[in-house]
Amino acid sequence: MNDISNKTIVILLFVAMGITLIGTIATISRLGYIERSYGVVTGALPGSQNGTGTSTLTVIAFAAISNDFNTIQFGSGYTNNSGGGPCVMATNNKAGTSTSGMIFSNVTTCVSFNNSNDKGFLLENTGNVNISVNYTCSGSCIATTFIGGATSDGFPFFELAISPKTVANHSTPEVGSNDTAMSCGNRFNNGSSGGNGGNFERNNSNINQSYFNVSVGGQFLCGSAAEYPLESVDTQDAFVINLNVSLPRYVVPGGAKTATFTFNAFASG
Amino acid sequence: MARITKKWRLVLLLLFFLPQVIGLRVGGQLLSPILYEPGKVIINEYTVSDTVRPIEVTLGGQLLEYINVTELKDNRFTLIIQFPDKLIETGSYQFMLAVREKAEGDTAGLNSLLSVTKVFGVDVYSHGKDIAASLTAPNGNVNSTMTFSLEVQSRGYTAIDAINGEITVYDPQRIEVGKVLTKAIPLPALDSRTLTAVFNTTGLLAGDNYLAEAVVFYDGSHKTTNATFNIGAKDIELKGYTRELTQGFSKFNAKVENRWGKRINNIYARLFLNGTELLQTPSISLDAWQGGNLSGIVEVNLPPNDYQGLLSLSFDESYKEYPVQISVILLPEQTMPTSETQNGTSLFLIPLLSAIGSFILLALFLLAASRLLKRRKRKRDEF
Repeated sequence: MNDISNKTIVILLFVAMGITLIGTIATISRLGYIERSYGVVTGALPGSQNGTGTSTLTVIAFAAISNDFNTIQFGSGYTNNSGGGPCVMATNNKAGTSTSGMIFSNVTTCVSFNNSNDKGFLLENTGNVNISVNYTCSGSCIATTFIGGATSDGFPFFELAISPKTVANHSTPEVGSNDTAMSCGNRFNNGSSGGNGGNFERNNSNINQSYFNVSVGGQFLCGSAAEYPLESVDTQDAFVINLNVSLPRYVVPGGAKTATFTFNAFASG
Repeated sequence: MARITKKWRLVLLLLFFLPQVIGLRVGGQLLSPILYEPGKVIINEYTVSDTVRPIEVTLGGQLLEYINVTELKDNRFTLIIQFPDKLIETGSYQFMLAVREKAEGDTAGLNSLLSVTKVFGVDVYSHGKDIAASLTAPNGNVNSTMTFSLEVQSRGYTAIDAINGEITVYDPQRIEVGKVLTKAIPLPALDSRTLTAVFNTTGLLAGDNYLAEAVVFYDGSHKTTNATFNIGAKDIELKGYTRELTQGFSKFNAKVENRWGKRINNIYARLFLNGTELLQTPSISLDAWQGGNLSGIVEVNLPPNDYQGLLSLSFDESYKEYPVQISVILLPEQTMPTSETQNGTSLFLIPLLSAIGSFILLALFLLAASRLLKRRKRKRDEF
């Protein structure tokens, strides 16, 4: 039998190392799932000279939220004035419809922008207690400051829409198991600050079409300061925030703009 | 070539350890709702994890003059609540503890930060005498006794000299059928006590939805509460049964419920169809008010049709009969069983893979080490 070459040994070394590391990472995340499901339990040992004592059991509550997709870059570009329509860039590739029923797309009118954004923010309850979630925005948070230019034909738009993870087309895996049921009891707050006239119906299975305007003050997306419907159950604990940036045909060029969303998880203390 | 290979290995190693999770987690013992007590001190520790950004801790809401947080150190901080030695205005108050990520040189475009806010409720009870009461009325049986429990909780900072209860019982038609009284006992401030009263059901009929209404008297004031309950008799009730049987062998199931407040043994069912006994099920026992199933396999040789039948329920030397209607249908075509792929990986597979990888790694290291030693020995021998 021929001796194994050094090169072969090195290759086998890397393969073995990879299997070990993947297994270790997966095992640790399973342990994290158990911790999130059942909390961390601490106990105090009984102690008394008489042989009796009192044991205490304290369950620690973890309020936690994760965002598995935290930066969305539309890049730089311009609108094709002869393209016939506005430039619509939505992270779920669904721009919805206007009140007149016109459906918009980004195929020919958005030039040089990064049109490959197909994922919104993926928010997940990674704690062991129920939470509610709201957002606020800082920076260039309204359409005319984020996009620039005067409004034209009802544009520009800077909007967001909410979807349970099970409905949204979002391929990023969750921290825990992927959801199999609608999160937040499918009772998301669909916004009341107007939008592009999309369907504002609550409990709508096409809820990812229901865009509403971004605002500085923000609003609750799921639940309220006193009601916490986003459960910590691993199979229904995530939802997606999609963003719609729509430019009119004629836009005054401007510099790079930044808008920072703060997603806030509320829980009983 | 060996040096380049070493660097390449180092780069690959670093790639395996890049952080994966972007999140914010705040852990601490639950405190809410907090009962205000003069002079009370509460200290609670919190840990912050999962984030890679700098964070800040802030307080907001009411009663902040009595609340502090320590400086964040090693991702830990302490909440300290120190109530004054006096009563404050009665009511419910709220304060919030927020842990926020701080932005640091965000890139142009759309960015996100995370924040976790814990909401605390503080209840300040009445400065005088006040209570909350709840009544528990367990299900009972005919011609026996049952005990009502009235839990009374002090919601004031002043002790109550005496509490007592008067419980009135109404039948399902809401006609008064009896009244019982509890003893009178004192109730210390912020404490709770349970009052009990025994009620005799002799003369009452078995039925659901009896009503017990309780009035709790406390030092010249009163509050009311109520509960519903059932009175049972020794009886087994049929709740449902299989309405369709296939020709040949098929499973028959009858869902039953014990309508008595005690265990009933030796419960079984006999199914008659078209004048023929098809099945006697194995016998079961049911605890008080418990539901269960009487099941068995029947062989049906009748042609497909709807049939009238009889289901006889026997229990503890008694029996009752129910008319039933069952459809006999043809045996459906057999279909190939579809194999279901197992969702998710086995709990043991991934750690097993990890262990196998470790063994292979160790074996390869030993092999490489032995080759290195052989080569050195060969070189030494050459010299």
